[in-house]
This record gives sequence, C-alpha cells and structure tokens, in this order.
Amino acid sequence: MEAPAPPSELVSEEGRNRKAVLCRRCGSRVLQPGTALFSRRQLFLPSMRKKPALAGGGGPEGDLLQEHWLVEDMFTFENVGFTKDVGNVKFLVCADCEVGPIGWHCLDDKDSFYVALDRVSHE
Amino acid sequence: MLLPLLRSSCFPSSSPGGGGGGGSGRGGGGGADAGGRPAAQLQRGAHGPLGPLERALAQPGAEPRRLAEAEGARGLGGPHACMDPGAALHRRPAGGGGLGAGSPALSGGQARRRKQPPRPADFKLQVIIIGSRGVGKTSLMERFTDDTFCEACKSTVGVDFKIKTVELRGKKIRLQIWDTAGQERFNSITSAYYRSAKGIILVYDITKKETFDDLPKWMKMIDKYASEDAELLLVGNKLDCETDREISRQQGEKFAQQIAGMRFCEASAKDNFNVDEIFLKLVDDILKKMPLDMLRNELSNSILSLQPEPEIPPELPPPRPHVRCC
Repeated sequence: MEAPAPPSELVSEEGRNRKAVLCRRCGSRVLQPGTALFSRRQLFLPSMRKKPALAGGGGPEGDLLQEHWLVEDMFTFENVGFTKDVGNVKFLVCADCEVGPIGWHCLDDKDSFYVALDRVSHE
Repeated sequence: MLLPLLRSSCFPSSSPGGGGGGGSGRGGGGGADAGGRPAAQLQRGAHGPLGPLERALAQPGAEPRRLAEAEGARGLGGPHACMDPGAALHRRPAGGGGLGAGSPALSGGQARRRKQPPRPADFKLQVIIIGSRGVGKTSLMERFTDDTFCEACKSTVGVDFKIKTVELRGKKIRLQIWDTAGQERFNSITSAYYRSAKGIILVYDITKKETFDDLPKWMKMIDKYASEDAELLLVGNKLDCETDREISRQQGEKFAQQIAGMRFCEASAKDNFNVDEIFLKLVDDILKKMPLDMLRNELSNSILSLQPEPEIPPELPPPRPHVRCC
C-alpha cells in the first residue's frame, strides 16, 4: 500500500518535527522541535488502554503503527521513560504520568528510538 | 513550593493535552519488527546533537569511596533539612491539578522554539535511587499514577529508567534516573548501577525502623562500588505518615552527618513534598562540585548504559586507574 505523504504541518522539509512532541495526557515534553526525523516503519505497540483491553486472553491488544519520530540518541529526549525489557524491546512511556507505550526501542539497535505520532500530541 | 520542577522544567505552558487513547486500532498482527536477541548496549557518549560533549575524553573515576559509618562525624556542610534548590531554579506556579496539567513556561521553552535545532543538553547525569524494599523509591521517581495508564507497562513490565531534563543555573541537564526497585536485597543491585552514578539517593521509610537500620548496609555497597565523588543524599520518605513515624528527623540527620558530604532531607512522594527538590538539589550539588571543564569531560565519558548488566557490562571500560577530579 502506498504511504501517504507525511503530514506537512508536523514534518519540516528536512523531515524533522516542526513541533514539540508532548504527552497527550499530561503534556510532558518528550521532544523539542527539530530533534527527531520522520520515519515510516511498521511497529507494534501495545494498547494504551488499561487492563480490560489486555484481559481478553492471548497477546495484548495493540496497534500496528506506521508513522514515527526517530531519534538516534536517547539523550535527545527531554523527558521519557523506558520500560524494562520485553524480549529485546523497551517501550517508551511518558516520563511523568507513565502513559504509554508511546514508543519503541529495540535493544539490537542502540541508535534508534521511535515515538509513534499517533500516541503523542504536537504543539 | 512543592512544585513538580523536574517534570516541568521544560514544558511549555500547555493545556492538559487531549485524552489518551491509543492509535487507531488497525488491529492484529504479530509484533512487527522485533528480531534478534537482546543485546545490552551501552550508550556511549552522545550521538548527534550533543556535539560539544562528544569530544571529551576524561574518565569517570571509580574509586573506593569514603568510609561509610566510619570517619566520625565530619559531615560537611551539615544536613539540609529543607531543600532549597536555589534561586536559579525555574519554578512553576503550583496548581494545575493532578495530571500535571498546565506546565509552566520555563525560560527556554519559548526561546527555543525556532528553526535551528534546540540547544542540546549541556550535561548528562546518572542518578540512582536505592533503599530497602517498600521505602518508596519508585514513588519518588514516578510521582503520580492513576488507573489510566497502561497496566501492562506498569505492573508487568515496569519502568526501568527515565530521562528527565532540568534546567539549573543556566544549564540544561539531562538526568537519567534509575530506580532499583525489585533489587532491594542490598547486595543484589548490580555494581554497574553504582559505578556510573553521579548522584545516589538513599531512601528509607520514616515509619519503618528496619529500613533505617539497613542504611549501613547500603553505605557499604556505596563505598564498595560508587565513585567517590558521587553526591549522596539521604531521604527519609513517607513524611505524610507522620503519625506512624519511628525514626525521628534527628536520627536521620545524625546518620547523614556521619558520612562525609551526605545531605539529608525528609520527603513525601505521596504528597509530592520535596520530591523535585531532591533531584534538583542533587544536581545542583553535582554541578557545584566540579569545575565546568571537568564536568564536561567527565560527563561525556560518563557512560550511561541503557542496560546495566550484572557485573561488568562488556562495553564498560575496565576499571580504570583512579583518577580524581580535583
């Protein structure tokens, strides 16, 4: 399927985030403007909803998300939390209210940290 | 005064952003993109935007620390019962409700909104929180939670560490904060945690004497593994449970006085009393302690591992000859 053009109100010509990336829930600042690259990659993030969503047996529910902000260095983040390892993945959560997962990091690739556009707000 | 400084220091004044809710539920599918086996990587130095720090050299001296219980009471500077992070700190007006709503515009917030990439962090510091089981270490790191966040993350996975940004004395500092919950047996915390920590927050519960009695054991671990110049802060937590108090403030102060350079305060993670101040004070102390150049060098090389491994992580440099910073 064709990838739609990245939302230009969010992505600069250089492919970076025009706006700050914030936690949807508490407004905690995750990334400053211009610090991340728009990136398409299909990643599975467990649902942000609470337990009922997870209780259905089988694997946790979640979403396959395509659009992400890519950061190469974890110290680029203003505020972010990392979960403990889930396999070889750490999920990213809000550093303040811990809502999440908002992003994804694979321990096999220490230079890639993804934050899903759908899981954050922009300002 | 009990301001969520840590959280807020870099927020714009934002509204409590829209509701939660996950993505659009495009359903199913297995975990895309996983692959490979776990690899504990050390995040050595900075990539990309942290330019100036890159070139550094220096070495974090890992030395046997000052004596713990010993050394008599030569508490430097005395205990700080009440944290006063100093005038340079950015504060935000209180209020805003539990969800950390309106965060405060802090100086840089607006200014940094320009086309050029925002100013990268000036420093990076690793802070660890240790203490016996149930003293509230995690609460100090987390601050508030309610039932809307992902239970899967919270209870089954848990947060490993956080990166938080504070601005202090004109410097932008990224803190990497490790909570050691789940490793409470005092000798089970891997030495890697201690080794790279620039700040160590040792927590006990003022309502549980045994957690106070454990402190010497924790100090032994600190002496053994932590860098000698790591800042130490003793925190008597659960100040909100005053009626159940078993350890007086004086006892806490006295303990801290016995250890060179250790500060002391009481806090309540529940009420958010002194929590941000703890971190800010610690950072302030760390910054004060080192000359700027030294700090830069030190930090760029102070490896903040994503995943401290048991014992010696492969990428960690072998124990270095001890190099003091001053």
